[in-house]
Amino acid sequence: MQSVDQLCDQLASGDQVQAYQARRALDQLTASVGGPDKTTQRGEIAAALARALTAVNESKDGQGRPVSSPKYPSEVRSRLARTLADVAGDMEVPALAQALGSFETREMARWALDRMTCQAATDALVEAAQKAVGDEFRVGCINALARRKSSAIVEVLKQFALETNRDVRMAAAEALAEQADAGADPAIAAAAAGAPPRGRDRVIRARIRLAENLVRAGEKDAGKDIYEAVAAGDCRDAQKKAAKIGLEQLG
Amino acid sequence: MKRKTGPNRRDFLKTSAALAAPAIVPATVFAKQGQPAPSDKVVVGSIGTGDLGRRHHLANRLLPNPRIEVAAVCDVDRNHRDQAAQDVLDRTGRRVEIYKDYRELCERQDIDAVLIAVPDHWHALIAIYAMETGKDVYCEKPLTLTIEEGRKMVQAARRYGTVFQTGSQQRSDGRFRQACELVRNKKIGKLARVDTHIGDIDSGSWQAATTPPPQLDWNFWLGPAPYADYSPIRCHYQFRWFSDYSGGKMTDWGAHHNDIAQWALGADGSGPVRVSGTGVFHENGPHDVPGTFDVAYTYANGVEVHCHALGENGVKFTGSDGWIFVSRSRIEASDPELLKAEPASGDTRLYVSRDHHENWLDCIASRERPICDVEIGHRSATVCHLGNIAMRLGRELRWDPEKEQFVNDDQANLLVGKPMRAPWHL
Repeated sequence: MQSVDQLCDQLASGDQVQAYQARRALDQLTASVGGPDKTTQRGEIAAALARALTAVNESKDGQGRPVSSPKYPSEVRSRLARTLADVAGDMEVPALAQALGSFETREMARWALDRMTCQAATDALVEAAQKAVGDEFRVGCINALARRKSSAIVEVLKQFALETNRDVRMAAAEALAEQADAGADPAIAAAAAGAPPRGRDRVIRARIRLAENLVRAGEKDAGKDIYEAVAAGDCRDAQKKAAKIGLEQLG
Repeated sequence: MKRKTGPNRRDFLKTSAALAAPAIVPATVFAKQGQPAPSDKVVVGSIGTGDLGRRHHLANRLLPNPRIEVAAVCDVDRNHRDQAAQDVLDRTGRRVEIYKDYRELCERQDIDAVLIAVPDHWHALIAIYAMETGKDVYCEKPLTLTIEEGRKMVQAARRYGTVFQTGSQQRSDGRFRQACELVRNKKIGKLARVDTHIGDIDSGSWQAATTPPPQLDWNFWLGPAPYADYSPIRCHYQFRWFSDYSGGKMTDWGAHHNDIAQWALGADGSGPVRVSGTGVFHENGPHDVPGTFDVAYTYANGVEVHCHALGENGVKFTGSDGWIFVSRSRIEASDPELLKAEPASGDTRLYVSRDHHENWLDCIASRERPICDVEIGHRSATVCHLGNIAMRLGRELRWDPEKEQFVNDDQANLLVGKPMRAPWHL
């Protein structure tokens, strides 16, 4: 079996068939250590992938000063980040967080962190959502945060829901809808301020999702309040119908 | 049992019109010459007008149907959408609105329903948006790219009271229904095994990445999928053989024949509890889904379903007293008399639909659930996804169909869903 480094070299070969074979080999490698009884082996493979993701070549510039550059091209590093998603644990978060800092690799690093529910991964995504340049990327980070359920995440998302950038605000509203927290509703509703019709629709849909999640979590009264507000509000027939269905199900 | 959804936009309009109209309304306002009344026509938007959407659905099923008025077409390929609009003009003499962005079509208040025939990685996003804007939905199979998408689609359909038909049209074929009824009624004894044969795929040929053609919005075509440079082999019909966009033959045809297995087993709201499989991937690519495969599923009642790439296309049910084979061209049984016998009183009878699109239209009017409701489409697609996941991981997996989670396998559970490229999300 080839080592991770050998497979990275093969990925970087520039030959489509060679790269495909390396990608398949990496997938097989991560699958082979994915079973519940392979924790140690999985950790070793994850560490090797993380090392390759952050590996650098040391050299000197024209004036003799030391400089470092990524050992592997961005396509290879993106593939490594994506592959890491299948095996990574807490120990690999720093490598992925570092990859979040590169425009070339950050989307696949976000992809990997999206799948990881550990606190370190959440912290990396929050930081990227707060500090990164590029609203679409920030929206992606917020989308990933929607999968995490905690009061701390609710507070973070509430802050994003106040942003001036409309796309970020909407993403935060939709992420808040996934949290079964009645306190999220005012923040979601406020995200509609100044939004065009499509944005207002998104906010109302988010409120209905929140109501559904609240009911599912046992907070029926809070869910009912939202359904009633939507049913009585100014919105599309489809949203009123959804609110009425929700109310009917509550009995 | 057929279940009801909520009222639709046309019901609302008819009710409003009845309340607001003068006491006497000429019948000709509503219907003439044996045609459906305008208020009874379903106004449809066609989303995805490539080969399947345009040549099959639009040309053969939507435009010839007097119960349907096609009001808009949509595709990210300008040639596809313009050709579809030309088809409507040629057939009906009407010019329809043409869209690149499905959201604009869905936001039209005058459209009742949409027919979605886009690549698989777009099904969930478009279908959910359509439901959220109040449309009833016909969505091509395989319903989803991931199991998580299917659950979200079911939730949206229930939330909005959507009439949702999955395009696994074999459920509206009498041969398949007959086979499933015979199995359900133990006419071949105790069912032991089902074999589905769904076809293999070749390796494909590599092409250099190139500039997308000017008529195609490649970034929009990719949508939630990871970015990839354009090459013609990844796009349009060929998308089926790339795992970022589809599940290969396993989902393409498995969504038909594994769906029939589910129907015969009475597992429409459930699924297998174990899955293992061997997939042979093409050594040199570019197609990255299994070329051939054998996947074994075990259901809670002990019945085994084996899904094979090879063998005659169709479904074979083997019981303690005989067998039945059914395909789109024939149905056979170990005892041919079984196929001629009338059902006995007390036999289980399955939902009867003789035409998949007509069943959808009937249900839009009645607000009942169609023969291949979203939950059924989701569960049948899940069977296929489970097979692909087991082949990818190369180990036997245990599946909890109630929780829709793998048992004691965190890595497998990562594959229940898939992150989406920003800004898209479920």
